[in-house]
Amino acid sequence: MITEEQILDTPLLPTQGMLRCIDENGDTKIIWDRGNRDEVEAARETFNRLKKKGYLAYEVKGKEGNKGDVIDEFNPEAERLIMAPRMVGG
Amino acid sequence: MVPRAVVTCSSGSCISSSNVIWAQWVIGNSGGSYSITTTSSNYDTATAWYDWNQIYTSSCSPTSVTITDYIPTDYVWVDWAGQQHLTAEQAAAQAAEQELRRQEQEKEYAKRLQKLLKAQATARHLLESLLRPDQAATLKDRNYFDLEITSRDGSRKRYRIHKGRSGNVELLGPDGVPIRKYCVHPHLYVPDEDTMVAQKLMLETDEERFLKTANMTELRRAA
Repeated sequence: MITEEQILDTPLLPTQGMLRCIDENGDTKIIWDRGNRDEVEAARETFNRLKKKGYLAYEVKGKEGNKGDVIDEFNPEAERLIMAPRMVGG
Repeated sequence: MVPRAVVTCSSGSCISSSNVIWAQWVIGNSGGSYSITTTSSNYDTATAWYDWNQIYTSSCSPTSVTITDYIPTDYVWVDWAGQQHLTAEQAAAQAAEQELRRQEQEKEYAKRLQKLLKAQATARHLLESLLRPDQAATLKDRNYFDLEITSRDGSRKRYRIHKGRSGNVELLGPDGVPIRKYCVHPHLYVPDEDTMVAQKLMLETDEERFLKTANMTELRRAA
């Protein structure tokens, strides 16, 4: 049984940002508090590690169809980042 | 299927022992003649095997083989041969072990299924969070959503992303009918909805790169 809590986004505080990494598990979430240096650095480290693997990073603002922006560097001020695995032709 | 070996009676040197019948039948089945000798006329292999098993089981314990016409005889024989040297305790232990293994496999399967369902549900939620209400509605009703893109040259294009992983993106003509089909997806295996998120974001932010990466199939010329 999949509960709603397992699926829904964790509500973010205004001071928090979230990185969602698309993977085999659906996606992995990393949340950081902008005022917490350790959390920011941990998120940055993950971001950089995934970028090295060829992941594409997007900063998404708002909801409901707002398109994202491609980013190359981690932005701790971002509300939501989505990282997608390298794309290949099928 | 059990090969049918019609057994005929040869007068003068009839063999009545089922194990001999079986041995001869096996030899015959290995490439020689299927014809063997017995005391009965119209004695087919299935009957011979049944009789042989009955006799053999009366003197050897524990042995029990169920024969159906759908199991090749050699499989039955291998199973039977594997069991015939077991004591009752060993057979019970073997059965218990098999049952335990079956239960473990079922648990593992349920665990994987749960993980897969969770991944799919999470991916679906992420995708829906990026869609406008009208896009979410067509996704729900028809398993696709449309994207309007302004290309670098200023032209407006409409793409349709179907639920799927490969070959699921279409460029629509002005009449709404697909003109081209594109195949591009994450190099990892991810749920379909995550593939659709990746395709959507890539198309919206870097259409040129999307088109350069994708394999394209021309469906028809634009009207």
